[in-house]
Amino acid sequence: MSTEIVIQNLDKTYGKKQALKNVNLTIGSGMFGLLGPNGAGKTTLMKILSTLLPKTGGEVRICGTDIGHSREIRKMTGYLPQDFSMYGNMSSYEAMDYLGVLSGLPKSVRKERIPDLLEKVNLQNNKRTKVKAMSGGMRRRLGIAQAILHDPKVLIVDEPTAGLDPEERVRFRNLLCEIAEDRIVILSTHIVGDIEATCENIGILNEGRLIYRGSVEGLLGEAYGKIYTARVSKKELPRIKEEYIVTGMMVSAAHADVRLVSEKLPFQGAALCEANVEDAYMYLMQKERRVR
Amino acid sequence: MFLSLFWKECRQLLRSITFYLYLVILVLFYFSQLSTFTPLVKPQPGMKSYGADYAVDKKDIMDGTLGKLAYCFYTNSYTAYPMGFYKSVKLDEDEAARVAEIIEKDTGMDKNEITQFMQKYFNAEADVNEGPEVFTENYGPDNYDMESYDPENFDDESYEAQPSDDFERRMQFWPDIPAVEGLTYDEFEKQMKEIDGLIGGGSDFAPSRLYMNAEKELTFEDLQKEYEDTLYKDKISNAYAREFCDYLGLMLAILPVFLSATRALRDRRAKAAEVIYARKVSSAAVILSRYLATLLFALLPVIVLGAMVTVQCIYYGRGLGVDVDAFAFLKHIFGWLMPTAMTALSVGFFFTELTDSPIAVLVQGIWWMASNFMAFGKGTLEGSFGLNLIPRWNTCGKYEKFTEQLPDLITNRIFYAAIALLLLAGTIIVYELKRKGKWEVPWKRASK
Repeated sequence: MSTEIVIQNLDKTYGKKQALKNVNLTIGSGMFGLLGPNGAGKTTLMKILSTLLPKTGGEVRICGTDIGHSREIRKMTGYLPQDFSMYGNMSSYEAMDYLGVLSGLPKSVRKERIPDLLEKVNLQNNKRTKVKAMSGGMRRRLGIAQAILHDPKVLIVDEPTAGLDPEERVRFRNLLCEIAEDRIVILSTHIVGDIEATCENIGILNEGRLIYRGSVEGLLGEAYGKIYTARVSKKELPRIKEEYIVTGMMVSAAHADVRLVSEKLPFQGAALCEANVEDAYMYLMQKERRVR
Repeated sequence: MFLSLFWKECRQLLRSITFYLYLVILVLFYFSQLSTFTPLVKPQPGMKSYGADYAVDKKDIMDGTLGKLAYCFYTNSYTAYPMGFYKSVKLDEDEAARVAEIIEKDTGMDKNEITQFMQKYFNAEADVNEGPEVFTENYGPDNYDMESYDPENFDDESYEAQPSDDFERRMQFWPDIPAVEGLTYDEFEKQMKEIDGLIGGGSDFAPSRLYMNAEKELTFEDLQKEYEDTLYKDKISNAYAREFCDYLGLMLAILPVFLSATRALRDRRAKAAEVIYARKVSSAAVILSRYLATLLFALLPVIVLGAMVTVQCIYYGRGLGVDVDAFAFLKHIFGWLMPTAMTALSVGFFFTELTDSPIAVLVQGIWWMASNFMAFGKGTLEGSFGLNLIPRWNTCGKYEKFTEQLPDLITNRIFYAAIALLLLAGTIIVYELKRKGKWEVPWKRASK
């Protein structure tokens, strides 16, 4: 059985609104990042892959199984929703045990696997901590543990780092990378830094359309020769912001250092620089807007 | 796997504040209504009166009903219970003329004769009783002047009624007016139906209520038989179990909806719905485990209360030297009360899953009130089960009358068990659709 997700001509509409338009994508083992602004259709795609939403058209196969066979798909997928929580009066162990039963795991397997997973997500000392008493980061870690409890081939993680402090975010990203060693992990986010730090392959969604699919290097290549830095006076800043996409800015008392996207040399004094993923993403979004 | 899920649901219920509120309300209600074990009353010969009960003879029913109709015509005041609510109705001239026509046809008395007859009757009654007695539901052998029973003295025999006890509480304060020769009951019933229509329906002249318009005096033999039926046919506990079900049914028709509605709302409130939807488990297993656990916890306190009364019955029966049916309460709880609780739970699960809101409580509340008004509207809390969600039997005994109505009760209970199962199946379907994103509450869809 193939370990890949194949999405062909996928469409999804909510009434008259088209949330996904003719999406074609193949996702193999390892971390895959799905990037896009809010409302791009990322959560819709995640939910379709988790069988929580029906597709309107097209075809989706997960490890060779059509998405229509929801029971089979649920056996092989783990899902961490954007807004994960569990019953507040359950301890972390009880929550895992309850969800383990819902996944059809026998008691012996649950007994063996739950402590291991809690340890893996660094919650071994919080077995009895009630869910309602957990911090946001602890809950997300519990969320990851529950999502891989039944050892799924595919892990679908929707906006997992939103609202986490930097330390928790780094810890969480590392955890996802470890988990991705032997399975497909789809990470949906609008935080470019998360993708940059963890994913080799990415897809970028904008207004329901997949505007980029490929490697991170490929994305950087798209922006090659298009990113400039310049030191400008503070007076010039409003004009520059109006004319160009500014991806970074550092303002001091006398001047401002800006990082901007431009197809050619924007003005004298600007210098080409190496693009990062955020620059490339911004470039792509600008190009997309121009095309439309 | 299903059992594991079921026990986990039970554990959740043990931690639920709603369950403890349910428990407190149920137990408080029980002890406020039925806490004292009241012994049976052994009738004694030579008493002034043995009370009265509804007549069963069709001629008696026709005579009593015509008397009541004449009385209502005389006062131009008719009582009706449309939708279970009390309503006093006055007829206009044309309608009253039609009533007078029917009375004349059925009794031979024209409207002047009716007026004279009523004046004469009530004047005579006033001379004897200082005014006509008003209708009261406190009649019959249930209202024997009994002392409260001391539960610590189970070796007491039945309370023996004293000859000085006054049982005479007349429910019929209007005179009988004999029907004319040759009037068949079918024809009479048709005419009463017409009058009921003139009044607006739900009146004392509706065919289903005609039997309440006539009474028969009870005799020592009647009461003696009833007493013995309770001892030997009901084996004591069955009679007490019926009264127990009458009261507890009132609570089980409303309280369980809170348990199921809060359970169904919990996933969303805890933001756990999607994580649960995405698991392999079938929707039937999720809903059934929740349903059965909630049903068990709804019935457990009732079973415990029933067991308490069973023990009292056993001690009481031992004092009288009578065999007691130790399983009477269990049979009644499962056969009589369980369909009511199942229905309330199913309404809770179904409407909550359907709407993601606590609207089920409102639905069940309305149903509960309608059922109560319907029972009161029928004018009796002993039988006439029909399709009322809350079957009433507000008396301890009356084995024969109950046996006559038992087939109706069985039909009623099967009907509600079926309704509950249908709603349960509906809940499973809605839950499955929600898991696949194929059902969304309309107002949430509209807000997208």
